[in-house]
Amino acid sequence: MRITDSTLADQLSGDLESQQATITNLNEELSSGNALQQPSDNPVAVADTMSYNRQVAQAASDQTSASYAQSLLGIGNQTANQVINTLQSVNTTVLQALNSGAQNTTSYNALAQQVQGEISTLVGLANTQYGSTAIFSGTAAVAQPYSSSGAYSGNSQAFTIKVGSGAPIACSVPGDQLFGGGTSGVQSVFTTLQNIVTHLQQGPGSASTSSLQSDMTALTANLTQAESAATTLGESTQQVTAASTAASNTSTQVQKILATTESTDVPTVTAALQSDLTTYQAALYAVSQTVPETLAQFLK
Amino acid sequence: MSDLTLQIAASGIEADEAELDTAAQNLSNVSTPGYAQEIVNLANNTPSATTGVGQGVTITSVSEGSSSLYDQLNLVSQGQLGAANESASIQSLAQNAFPEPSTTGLSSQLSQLWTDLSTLATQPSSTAAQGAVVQDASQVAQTLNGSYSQLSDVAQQLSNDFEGEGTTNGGYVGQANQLINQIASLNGSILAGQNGGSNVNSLVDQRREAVDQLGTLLGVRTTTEANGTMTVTSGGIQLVSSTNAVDLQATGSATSGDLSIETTAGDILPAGGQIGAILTGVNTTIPTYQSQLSTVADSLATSLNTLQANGVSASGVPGATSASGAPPYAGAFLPSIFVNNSSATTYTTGAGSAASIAVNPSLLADPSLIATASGSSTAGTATIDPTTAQAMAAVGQSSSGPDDLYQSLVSLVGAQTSAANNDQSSAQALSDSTTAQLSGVEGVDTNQATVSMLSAQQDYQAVAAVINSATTALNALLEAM
Repeated sequence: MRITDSTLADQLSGDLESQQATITNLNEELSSGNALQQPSDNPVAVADTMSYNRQVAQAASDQTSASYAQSLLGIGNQTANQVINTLQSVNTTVLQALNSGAQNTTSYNALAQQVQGEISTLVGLANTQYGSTAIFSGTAAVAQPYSSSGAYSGNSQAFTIKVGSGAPIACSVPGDQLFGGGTSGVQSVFTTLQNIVTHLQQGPGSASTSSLQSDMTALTANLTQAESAATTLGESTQQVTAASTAASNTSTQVQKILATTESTDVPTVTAALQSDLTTYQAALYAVSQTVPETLAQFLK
Repeated sequence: MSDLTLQIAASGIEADEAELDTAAQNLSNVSTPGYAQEIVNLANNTPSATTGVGQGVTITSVSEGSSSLYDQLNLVSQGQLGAANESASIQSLAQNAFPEPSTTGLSSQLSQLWTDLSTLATQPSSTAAQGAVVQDASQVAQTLNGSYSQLSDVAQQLSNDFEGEGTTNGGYVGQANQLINQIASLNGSILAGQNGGSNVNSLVDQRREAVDQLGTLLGVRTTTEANGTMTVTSGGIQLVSSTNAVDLQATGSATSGDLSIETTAGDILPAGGQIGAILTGVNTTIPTYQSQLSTVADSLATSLNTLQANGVSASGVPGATSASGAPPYAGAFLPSIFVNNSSATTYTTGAGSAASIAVNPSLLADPSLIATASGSSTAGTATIDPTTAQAMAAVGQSSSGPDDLYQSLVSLVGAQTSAANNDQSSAQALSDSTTAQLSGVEGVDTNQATVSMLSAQQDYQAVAAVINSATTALNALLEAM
């Protein structure tokens, strides 16, 4: 084939242009640290990256929800344990009234006052809040689900938090499942304690003894319910922890994959850039040597 | 003897001057587009019948070293390159509307919306969480509007390139018409020149350049007729025949997806080249992306609006189709989250919905009007039931939800852009190769032209020596007399 000036010029300038384009791309990849600048760079990897990013965001969101749920459950658990301790202490008080021979009206009144104090403690516990939300109101938005007399204004639906793709996890027990009353089928703990106070105030005697004994049965039922509520909260805590760990593992795994898909492979790109630069310089030298060299050069 | 000698020498001088002139012409036009190297065609004059001695040299013609085969191949590859370049640039412009993967694109904005909805589900009555969700939704809507209008701008720009703007810019259609008329008028000059016996090489060069430009613009085929005129067709429709030019005009509209180019007689051209690529971009590619973007908007708006209508807000306001919104409830219902535009109150799906999707202004004014609770929650009673907020947050995980639809769209744009870039590379390679072949035949080789020049110079000197010698011989004869 005849090689004319424009053949040579077209070919050389075309080669230089394509080398410059490659070098620009590699430079951009190196300086941004991203192998994927735009969807056309690698459509499949870009779609994968978008999907991985979503998984990472979802996992982070799950972890945030899980952490909120854990705080809520932590406070719930702590409060339930305090409720159990308080009820056990009332139990001891009543046993004291029933068993000691040396009781009189004064000591009964003192015990009644003690139980009255426990009622206030329990009302305080029943109105425990996390942030500005009462944690024992079910899903009712009330700041104080329990009145000072122990009347319940919450509902019996558990507040749930969804962590991950599984079913929502109950993150609090509605008040009536911890304190009785409502639709729970167990006498309200406040009624039980108020009865104990009333019966203690009657002073020692066969009537009060019999009443206090039946109060003991009711109190045992309240204790059993509170323990079962604490167990429920404990189980939820385990579920939340499991879901949070799963989210954290997903996040770690996906981020690893993401790093290999999305990030620049620095050694490979650097080597490629080095080699392209060398080729480019060689091409430039070739152009500088070839273009001016014609026969006309030697005509003097 | 001497008279004939001088005549022969004179014809040689003329031939050598023609060679020198042609070398000068070739060397001067090394870089002229469309220029084909010229060759002096010489013929030996028949010997005189009486003496049997040759009678010198005649310049029969100065022809072009052209090849119609390579011209054709080059023309076809120019059309393909024009189309591939334009397609790649359209794809690249369209791709700019989808800045992925990034931490600022629609994909991460959607993720933010789902994250904030999850937070709202843990604290349904938190005004901060409600406000964050409404702001996120508004941001997503604005990004959808932005991407859609960016695509519309590209389409508008392409239409302007095609049809032209105002009176001075005729666009590609105007350029094509100019070239068609130029080719027809050059056909006329070439015909006249040939009939008059003059050299038409420069006119042929000009015509070749015009045809190349028209080929890039429109994709054309040519036939050179016996009389030297050129017939130009595009997609089988004749544009130039002898001195007749067929004018082109734009027809249809980008809005209805049938923008096209037709002859004034109404024949629609199956255009190639840059114009063909623009028409595909404006009629098909960009509307496809816009309608798929609207599918993303529709999926988002429909799923969240449905949940909103079926739910109840944290303050107890029921959605229109929730259980607690049923009679005897007589108050105002929750507003739709997404509406078709900021003055609408409802959302209707459609191919253009992404252009104007917006968050309901009444929700922006009062973010507490977002449904978080189950639809059976008692109307008018504040609740922290998170059922609806949880369902809204789960839309992000749906396998056919807005995120997946958007991801598919980005994949499609990426794949088509990448394909267009590959097409461009192969069209460029093909064009490089046909251009190289063509310039191998038609181009000027400086070395070759210089050698011709030197050889003509030497010949000229030799013939001059002949004249000198003949003169000396004649003088010797005269002196002897």
